[in-house]
Amino acid sequence: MRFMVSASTDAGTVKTTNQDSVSVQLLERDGKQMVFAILCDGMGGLQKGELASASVIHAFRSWCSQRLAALLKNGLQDGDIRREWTQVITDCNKKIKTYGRENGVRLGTTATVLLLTQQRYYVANVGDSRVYELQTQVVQITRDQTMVAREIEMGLLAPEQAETDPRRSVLLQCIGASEEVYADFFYGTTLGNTVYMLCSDGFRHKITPEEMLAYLEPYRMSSPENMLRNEQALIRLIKERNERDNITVATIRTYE
Amino acid sequence: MSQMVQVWGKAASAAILGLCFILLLICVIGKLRKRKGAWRVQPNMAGYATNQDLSAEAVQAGLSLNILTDIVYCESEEIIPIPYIEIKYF
Repeated sequence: MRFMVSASTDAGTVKTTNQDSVSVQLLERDGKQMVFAILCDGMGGLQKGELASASVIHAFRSWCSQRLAALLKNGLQDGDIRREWTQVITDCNKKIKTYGRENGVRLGTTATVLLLTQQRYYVANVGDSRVYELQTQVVQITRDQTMVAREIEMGLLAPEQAETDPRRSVLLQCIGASEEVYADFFYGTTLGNTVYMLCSDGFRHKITPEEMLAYLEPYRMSSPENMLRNEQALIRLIKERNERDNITVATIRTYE
Repeated sequence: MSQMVQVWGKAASAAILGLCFILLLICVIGKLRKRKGAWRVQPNMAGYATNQDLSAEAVQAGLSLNILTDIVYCESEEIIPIPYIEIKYF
């Protein structure tokens, strides 16, 4: 299986600072490709969200360059990823909280991490950025860590009500601004001729899953240039609909 | 007489120092000859690091990933350093 990757980001229609950060790496070892992607949405209501998101991105990139090859050599297990990413997230939370205390600021970020290998995908999520799988339909892989999502799971709120609920962006936790952080982990089989998408909440607020598919379905994502063009066209549509938040998306196309 | 004792004393000290230096050189050269290649640290079953002799090429091949595409965007030029800490196994 081979991969193509792309990513786009925009500050949106109102904000002057883009507090989202994103990283996508296409890697190869022994002739086999894999992708490591991270998307972080800095907390807009807190200060220096862009510093928090950039710091988590760099921490995971360091992990990748120092640990991934060794784990692959020994045979990658779900438990390895869970243990190591949990430690990275815990370290990030401690360091960002310490920075905040020492500098008299409060800062935090979401984090969504995706490792896509030939056979399997590994996802960790803190917050409300998402990972989707697009083929003929849009499948959400992650689960939001928001108050509203929790109420839907408990049957206290209908999904339709959640879309307009004023608390829809209230997070249960985030890295740097919570006492302890517990990431959700998701695993699955990597599918061919599929688009995997990471996005911040600003990307998905103003569009429907059908529109996501219309722009980003695998058939339309035939080259990295097309992938970038389609991402940016969708971002323009989102801005026309007056999205106020930062808008970020990363896409990975698998093909055989 | 005392002058002669001082001279002999200094000569003896110099000789002893010289001998120690030569012995030190012999030990260092011996250790350098024993070392064949780069050290590779890997965890044993209990998770603690052990050393194993490997050639530099073997180490590099085992621990490298080729980066074909690298896309990164961070508005902040500053980051909070979060150094990788060796995973502690239990």
